[in-house]
Amino acid sequence: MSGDTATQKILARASGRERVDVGDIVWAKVDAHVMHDNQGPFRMGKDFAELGLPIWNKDRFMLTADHHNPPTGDSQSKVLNVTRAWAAEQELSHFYDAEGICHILMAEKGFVRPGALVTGTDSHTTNTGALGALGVAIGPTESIGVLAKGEVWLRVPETIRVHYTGRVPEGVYGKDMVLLALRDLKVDGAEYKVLEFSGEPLMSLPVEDRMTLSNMAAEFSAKSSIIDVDEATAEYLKNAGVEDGWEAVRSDEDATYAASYEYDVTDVSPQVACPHRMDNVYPVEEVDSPPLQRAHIGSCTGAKLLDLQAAAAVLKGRRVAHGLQLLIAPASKDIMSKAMADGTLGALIDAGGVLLPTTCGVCAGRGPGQLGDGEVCISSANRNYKGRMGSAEASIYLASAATVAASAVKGRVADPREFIS
Amino acid sequence: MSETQTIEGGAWVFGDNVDTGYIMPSKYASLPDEELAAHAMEGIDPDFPKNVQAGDVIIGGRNFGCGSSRETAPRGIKHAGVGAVIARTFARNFFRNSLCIGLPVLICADAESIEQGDRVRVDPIAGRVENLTKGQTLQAEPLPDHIMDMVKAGGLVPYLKQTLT
Repeated sequence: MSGDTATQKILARASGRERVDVGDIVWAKVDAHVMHDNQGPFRMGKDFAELGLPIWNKDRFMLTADHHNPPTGDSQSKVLNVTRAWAAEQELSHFYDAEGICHILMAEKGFVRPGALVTGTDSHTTNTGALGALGVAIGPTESIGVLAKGEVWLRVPETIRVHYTGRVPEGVYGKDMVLLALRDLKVDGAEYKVLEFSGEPLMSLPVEDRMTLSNMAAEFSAKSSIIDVDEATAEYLKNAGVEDGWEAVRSDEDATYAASYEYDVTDVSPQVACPHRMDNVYPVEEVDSPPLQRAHIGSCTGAKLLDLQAAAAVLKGRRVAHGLQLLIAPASKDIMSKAMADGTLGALIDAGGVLLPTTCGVCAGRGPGQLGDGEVCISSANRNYKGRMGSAEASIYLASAATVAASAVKGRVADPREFIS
Repeated sequence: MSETQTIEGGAWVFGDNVDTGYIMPSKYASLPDEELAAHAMEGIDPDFPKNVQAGDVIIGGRNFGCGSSRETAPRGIKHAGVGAVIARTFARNFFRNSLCIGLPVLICADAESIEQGDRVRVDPIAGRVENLTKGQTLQAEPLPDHIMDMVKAGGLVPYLKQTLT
């Protein structure tokens, strides 16, 4: 008998079984659950009220108002007001209103522990993988079931291993490493499967940048993602107030994988996903873009402190190109205040950056900064299909925050390495 | 007890990897359910909302409903009158969301034998898809019992009402 993947072990524990096989359907206990304004009370509040059941565990449940916040019109205000009223009525202990994007808040506030099963009403719930937890997306109606029972049914998925070797070169980040894999696996490459990212260069990244990979597992249609836990993870958790009460779960050496991919990153260039698909990926030097009107550093994927710092390293003492607007939306208030304290935000604003709220904003096609017909944008976010950031007649390139910053200076997609060496 | 019935209508064929952002663009995320219908499939076929008829069926290729886990995607097409979605494979979020809100979704290896405009009759409980235009019958992949209980009840909320309260 071959060994088990980390995912099998997590689901076995969560379903109270000794062992589970791929394909088994289990009812699993949820360790933490998150819901946001866009897939929350506005859609499920009435049905939940009709059931008349209490929330299974308010200490393990987070509600955020991050998608429609601040509102740009009447319909968004309504969604927000329903969300706030529900949070008050349910007497929630963890409701965060425009404080940050749910996936980042879940990590920052210690809701995610290694070995845990996490559910969330958002596809990027896979973000938890960087902390060794299995994060699975569900919708608002299914969230009713989780809130009522603290359980969810799941099919035990196969795992695809993406292994990195070599050393991470200057100018290359987690974003480039994940885009490299997306180029080959494609947007349906991990359908119903878990992506396990591994290898020394990956583990050499700060935990926040490992999140860029686990977060974008969603772009492969993955059910979830998982990354090994090490001392850096323990340190991250400690800072989030999680000192104990967790145990690292690892795949066995002889675990069975559905497929394995290996990338030596030593000589890899920064990568860019070109319009209009996330898997349309080329090395930056091969991308000859039209002039850009917008550069965006934002979202749960690409606006963590280290993303802002990488962008600031490129932009410090420089100006964005004439005719281009640079938008900066830190992923949480905590990130924003740290970036204020260390001079990062000042450098970005001095270079011409426009500061936006610490919410999903334009990455969710909401708020200020949406693209107009024919406009071209480069973004550190996660999706670039037509209409994602506004007009369906706009074009979006996706890259690391450093590549976005270099492109903002040049006014076209540009290589960050010439600014930071 | 069953609220799920046989569906009959015309087929609307879309390809592989249809993102939920095309099924229901983000900009409509704050609209109430009844207003979503006017924008169903707008990101891929702007004329769909005005031409779709009650009982029509959407045919997808691989990975139908990938991308964002937005439930407004199945809600919008359900409110627009779509009776069922049949695809070779579904992205899991769309699949689960559809079952939860009581929109029948059928995984059918031969889904793409159905062409635009074919008349289709669907029995979600039996997992049977009849192409009335071509005279063919397709069988969908069977779903586990606990999912079928939810399908029979008409979605997760009626199912929970039966079992939890």
